[in-house]
Amino acid sequence: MTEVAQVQDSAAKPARAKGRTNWTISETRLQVSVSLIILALVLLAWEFLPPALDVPRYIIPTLSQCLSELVRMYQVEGLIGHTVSTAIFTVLGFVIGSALGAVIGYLLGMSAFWEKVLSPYILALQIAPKVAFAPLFIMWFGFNSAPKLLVSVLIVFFPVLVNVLQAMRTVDRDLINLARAYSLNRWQIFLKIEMPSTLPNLMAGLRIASTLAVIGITVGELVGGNTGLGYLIAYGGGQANAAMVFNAIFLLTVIGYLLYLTLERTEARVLHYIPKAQG
Amino acid sequence: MKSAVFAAALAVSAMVAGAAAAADQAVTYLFPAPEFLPAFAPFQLAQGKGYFKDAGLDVTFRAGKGGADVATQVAVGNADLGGGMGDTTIVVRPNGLEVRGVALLGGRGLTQLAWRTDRGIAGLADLKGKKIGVITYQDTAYYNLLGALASVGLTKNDVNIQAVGAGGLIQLTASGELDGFSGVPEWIAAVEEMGVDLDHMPADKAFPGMAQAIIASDKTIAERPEMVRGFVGAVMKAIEDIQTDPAKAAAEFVRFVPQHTGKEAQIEAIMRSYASNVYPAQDGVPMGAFDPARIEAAQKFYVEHDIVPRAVPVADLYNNEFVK
Repeated sequence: MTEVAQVQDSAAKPARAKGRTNWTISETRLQVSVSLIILALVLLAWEFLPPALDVPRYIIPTLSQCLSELVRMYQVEGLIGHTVSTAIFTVLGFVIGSALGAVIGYLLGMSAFWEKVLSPYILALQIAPKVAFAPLFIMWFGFNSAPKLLVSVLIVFFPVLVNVLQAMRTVDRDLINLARAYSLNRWQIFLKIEMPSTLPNLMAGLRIASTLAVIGITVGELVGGNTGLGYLIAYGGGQANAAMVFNAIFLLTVIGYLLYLTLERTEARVLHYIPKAQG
Repeated sequence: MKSAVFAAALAVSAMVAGAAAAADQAVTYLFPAPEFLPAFAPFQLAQGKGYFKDAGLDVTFRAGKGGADVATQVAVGNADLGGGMGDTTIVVRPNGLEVRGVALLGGRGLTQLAWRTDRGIAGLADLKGKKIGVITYQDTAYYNLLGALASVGLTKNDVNIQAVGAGGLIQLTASGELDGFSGVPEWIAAVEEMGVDLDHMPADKAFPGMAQAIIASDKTIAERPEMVRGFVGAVMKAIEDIQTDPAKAAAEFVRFVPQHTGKEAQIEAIMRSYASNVYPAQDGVPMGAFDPARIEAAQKFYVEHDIVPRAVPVADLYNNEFVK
């Protein structure tokens, strides 16, 4: 191929990095279009299939039944209040659980002795089904927000702790030795070497924890309490109002998704210096 | 010889087939709350005194989580029959559950609203801001509470309603963590036994709530009417026994439900209370039958106060065929 032809060819087809991660505008539009078509098909199936197959509304309500129930929930059932309550406690549970998990993960990571001493107990608590503690917390702390917050904190705590601890164990020892050679103290070594090294693992743990925070709050609200989307699931389920249950689940998904998205954006900013894998 | 053996085998087969045909029909009955409650005495008496067996039924009891939950389980076929209140079908039928009441166990409402006398509560309006317990949000007593609150212009947002389970209701009211509760009459006696004074009122003084009811799905009514008739007949017979001699019924109940051993006097008082305040039929309505006008009034109340989303035809909510 002549040089002119090569230049013309490059102009016609934008340069692409190795692999297929740089989409052209037309490819992106095609992806979006196909995605929207699939969504439309799913929504149409949701609306027309249940009545066509004689599936009653208390098993699978149609899309329009869910939407009209959503309006009714807004008008009569205090939907905004319940949604905001769940969202606030999800964020609170996530923040408290993550902070505790990170701090304790870092502390244990800095002390091999205490890590060895406490590991069996941490493992036992990690394996114990945290959601099963919800009825116990209600008995201990009463019918208020504390039980659901505690369940969420416990669920969020362990993935963050484990990720941070694992990352602290695998910090490059050569870098630490180099830091010591430059007379950095323990705190400086943590700040300048260990903490930056563990950030990718911490962010990964936070992303996992963000989806779990919603579960913890939902379980707490299902078991006790009269506020939140979990309560609406119990209330709606109790009267076979499947549309209310569907709507509550949808809103819980939105809350979890928004939290996850926030973390993803935060991670992109915080870890901007890490090159992304190609191919 | 061979023909004799063959004839004998044929006879044995016929006997076995006949025995199988005559075997009792298995029935699962789902209670809305723990089955040992005195509210369910008619069922325990019918079981213990063999009334179900006489009707050709082999009845197994199970406990659900409130009347609305029971109605759901009956509708989807997880139980043959279930217990709720006359109002229960009003709550669930609009959501497509094809269930209806087949017997109403009394002419008065079952739900009682009770509160501690030391909480400054003189009437329903004073429940605003108070902590009131129900066993679950799936229980019809919860909806009865909402109905009672609506009668004085309150909603569930004005009152802190907590679902605490049957045991929690008694314990937490006695300990003071709850100001009151909505539930069955015997819980009032249970709390007062723990040294706590309660005021109470029947919920049907505030709105047209109904007594306990037996619930069946439309499918079961169509396919197994004799089973429904036999079950209802056995329970109504047990109710007659309680009304005729509450003391004897109480003694029998304690014998069949040993959890109450030692509480015979209390159980007798509860039986007398049910016999005079709950079981007597409404004027002009046969024992066990639903009054369509009362159902319509109750449904209208619930719909007007946004407690249930919509009304359904009243005729779809009950069936009086089995109490005739």
